[in-house]
Amino acid sequence: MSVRETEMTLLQRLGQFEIRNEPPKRLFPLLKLPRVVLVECIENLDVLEIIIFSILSKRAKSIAKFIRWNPLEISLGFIPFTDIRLRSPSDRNQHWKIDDENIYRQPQVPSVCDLIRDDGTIGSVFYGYREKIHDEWICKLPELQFVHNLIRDDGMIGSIFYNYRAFMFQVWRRQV
Amino acid sequence: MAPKKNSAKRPQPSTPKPSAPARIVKVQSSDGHILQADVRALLLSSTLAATIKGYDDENKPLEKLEVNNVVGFTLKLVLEWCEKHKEDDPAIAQAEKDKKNIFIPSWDRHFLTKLPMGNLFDLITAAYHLDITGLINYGCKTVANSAKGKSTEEMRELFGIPEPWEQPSTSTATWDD
Repeated sequence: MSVRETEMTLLQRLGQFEIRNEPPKRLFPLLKLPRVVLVECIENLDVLEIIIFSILSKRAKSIAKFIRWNPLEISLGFIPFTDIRLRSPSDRNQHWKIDDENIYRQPQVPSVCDLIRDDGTIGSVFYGYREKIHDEWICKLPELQFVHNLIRDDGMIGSIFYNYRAFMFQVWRRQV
Repeated sequence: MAPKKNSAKRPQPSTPKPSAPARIVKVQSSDGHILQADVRALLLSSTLAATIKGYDDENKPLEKLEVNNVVGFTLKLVLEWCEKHKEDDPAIAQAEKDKKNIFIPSWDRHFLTKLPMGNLFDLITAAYHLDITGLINYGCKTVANSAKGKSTEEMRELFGIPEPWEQPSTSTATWDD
């Protein structure tokens, strides 16, 4: 028996009041929830869903900072092809990969590829030389914010940035 | 038949126990609707339990409880949930509060997912005001499940969060966001 049917049955049984039929509301105004409940809702999301939530607005970002969560592990592989993977430390079977096997083959030409999750695309990837990215991208994407450096054994090789619209990933090769 | 593994970790569905006759009281919503409920169901709400205890301690007859911050439609849903769970051990809800993966029993999953999102919001907010831990747990988990696999745009639409350039930028902005 549905909630509505149950309600109507009880209403008829009690027969002492009428509750107005409210039109169904499709929106869930999450940010209007009390803070404690809101944080509990967000804690039930997985790590990349929390990242997506955090880029929805400034307030969402500030709330996401309260969440107790383990950040992603970022791994780089170079043999046989360049392979960048993001892995959830709480669930070893859950991982995402940068879906472009040619990521380092033409490092001087800034390119774009998609960041793929098991269940679909969540954002775009930008890579190339750092100077090139400054020239090409930052002027087009204001409010770009630094998130994380990627470290290889022989030194820094890249940084992650994001803005409020999309999660972006930037990699550059160390100059010799 | 052998018992299922891990069955002790999951909340068991309510089973009616032979017990004393139900003590029915009236509950009035903020918009004046009057509902009837079993006191055992109302005790799931810490807020109402404290009020009931106050009446009992003073030996005053409890004729009507007023819930000033929940409207009739939502209060009806709250009481329906409490009625279903009035035999539950309160320790289960407390134990689940800190668990990362909350298991939602089938009745609760059906009850919560059938609700329009706006009514689910009202229900969770009411559960917060009335301090009903179990309902908050299941409600929050249901909200999280509804966001699973959503893209940025879909999440924006579901949660009613406008794009940054749609938000007012002046200091007199009135967006909640």
